[in-house]
Amino acid sequence: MRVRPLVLLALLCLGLLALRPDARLEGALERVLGPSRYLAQVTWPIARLGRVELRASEATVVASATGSRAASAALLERWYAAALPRAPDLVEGRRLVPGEVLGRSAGGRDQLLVRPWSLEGLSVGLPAVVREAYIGRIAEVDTVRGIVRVDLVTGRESHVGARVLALDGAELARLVVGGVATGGRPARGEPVTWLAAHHPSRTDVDDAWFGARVVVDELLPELDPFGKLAAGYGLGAFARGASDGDWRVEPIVDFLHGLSSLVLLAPGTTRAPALPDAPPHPLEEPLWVAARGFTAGDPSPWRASVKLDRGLDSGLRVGAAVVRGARLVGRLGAVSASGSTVRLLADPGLELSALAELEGRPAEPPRLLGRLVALGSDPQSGRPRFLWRDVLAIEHTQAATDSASVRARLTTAAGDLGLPAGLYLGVAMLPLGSSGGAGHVIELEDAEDALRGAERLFVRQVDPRLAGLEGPP
Amino acid sequence: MRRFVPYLCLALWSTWLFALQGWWAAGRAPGGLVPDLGVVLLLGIAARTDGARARRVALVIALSRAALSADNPAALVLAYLAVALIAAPIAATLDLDRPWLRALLAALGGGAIALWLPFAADLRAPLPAGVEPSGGSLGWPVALATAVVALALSKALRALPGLGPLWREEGSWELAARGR
Repeated sequence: MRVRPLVLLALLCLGLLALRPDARLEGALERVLGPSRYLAQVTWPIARLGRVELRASEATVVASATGSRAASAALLERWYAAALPRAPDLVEGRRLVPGEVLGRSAGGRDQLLVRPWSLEGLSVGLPAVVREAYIGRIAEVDTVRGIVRVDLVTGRESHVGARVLALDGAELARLVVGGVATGGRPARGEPVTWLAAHHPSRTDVDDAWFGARVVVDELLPELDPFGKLAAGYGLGAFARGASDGDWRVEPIVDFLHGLSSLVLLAPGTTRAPALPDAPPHPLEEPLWVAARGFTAGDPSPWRASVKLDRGLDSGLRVGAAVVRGARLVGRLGAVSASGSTVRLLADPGLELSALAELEGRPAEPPRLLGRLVALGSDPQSGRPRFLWRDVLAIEHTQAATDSASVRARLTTAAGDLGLPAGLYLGVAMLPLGSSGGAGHVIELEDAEDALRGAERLFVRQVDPRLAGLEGPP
Repeated sequence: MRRFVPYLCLALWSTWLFALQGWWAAGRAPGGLVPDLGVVLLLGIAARTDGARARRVALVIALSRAALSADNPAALVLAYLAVALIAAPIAATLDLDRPWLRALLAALGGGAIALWLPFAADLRAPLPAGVEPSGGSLGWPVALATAVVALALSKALRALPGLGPLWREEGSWELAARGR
């Protein structure tokens, strides 16, 4: 049997499209698939069949949502407070403006989109910090959208003057820090990164230097007029690269996945009265659209997804959060004009940022876990499993040195457009100690089937002020 | 217009079949035993039709599944077209209605699709280093379940109302010759 060359060409094109995503072509394909999505809606009785087993009333959902919302609001409050610098010498003479990281700019990974609690007094060049760590400076204040763009110190064009300090506080050298130095890049996954160090004042490096603290200290006010505000904030630990003269700074924050909230430093005299009011909890914002799921599950057994009857026409975009009550059930994958696909928490490859509140450690602030990647559901328990890349591991406490894990309540963290902070994820046991770079696998204990009994789901619309700001994935 | 009615019926029926498959796959299937009903339906029709029509049937089935799945539509269309392309020459020389041959082809088709889709998804958006795509182990269970369903239901599925014109109107002389 002879297969026409046209068919073979079509197969080749399909193969390329299947393996190499192209946003424009896939958008066109979604439009072509539009009519079939309408056709698929006639299968809703099967979806109903899947939900009659354990139907919860809307009242139950609302009641649990209220409890979860209150808990996550308290968690967020503690989280924002934890981002504030504490050391008196780092606070003195500065006005602190907390901000929520909305995501990365379309300009690249090295620019953050931040919604400050207040725009008053903010201007280009002011430093941005997380606790006692310097991360960059304001590049633009967008008063129309109510956001600022922050250039991270990891940017190719970024630089800041710094000092290397010995343990006793003595200055060992001066240098310029900016850009990224990469380590051995794995074939897959993310590279290990350091901050690059340039132009050292001395080259006779002693072994005792390695591990020494590197702090911001800009000598030239003409280069950085607000340098004094950032003086003393940490950049990381001095480290050696692959060869002599290749100096680096091991950062104290995870620049790739560990930025969820920050503090902007403005000139001022006092701290406490200057803190503006916190923004409302994300669930209280008028950005949620009710949607109906019309499928019971994904035909592919390795996937976990549901189709919704709302799409672009309702202001929904890829990556938007989908909740039932206050619990996050997934994020939107593909979105067409009139429908969308929810990638549930157990859908392999789904990514989100998470905050953890550790049980039995009430005095500790919430932990930013960074990026969690879904690995599918556990074959036995059916619970969603995630890979947690523990850039900053959870250490043992003195009280319980023999336990291998700690129970934690997880909620979403800010840092992705469409996925706000404070949405309840579930309870998980977090392994203690470092995984050595391999990452830990964690399991959500109470999220076996968040869709059961769900009559309606709520999807977060794009904030009209932030439309068009979608950055790189 | 009459030519399109059977394809519309096919789209409707395959959508319902995939919805049922999704319901079964959503935490109810023991050990990942989820049959690929699209492959079963495709092989049932391909046994009695020519290659070009089998490809059109594969396209409709793939688009129906794409309407219900988070899998990439291009990967789905490629998968079902490949099954149709392999099944058509076999159907021209062997009788695909023989139960064991049908079950074998269904197992191969279902299993290959179950391996291909996670592979394609992983290439499109790589998982972190050291993490295997979770669908990698589902090839055998899906192949087994598809073979069993193909044995039991393949003829019944192609006999669903409205699908007859897709396979009954084939040249009777050719079919008669094959039967002899």
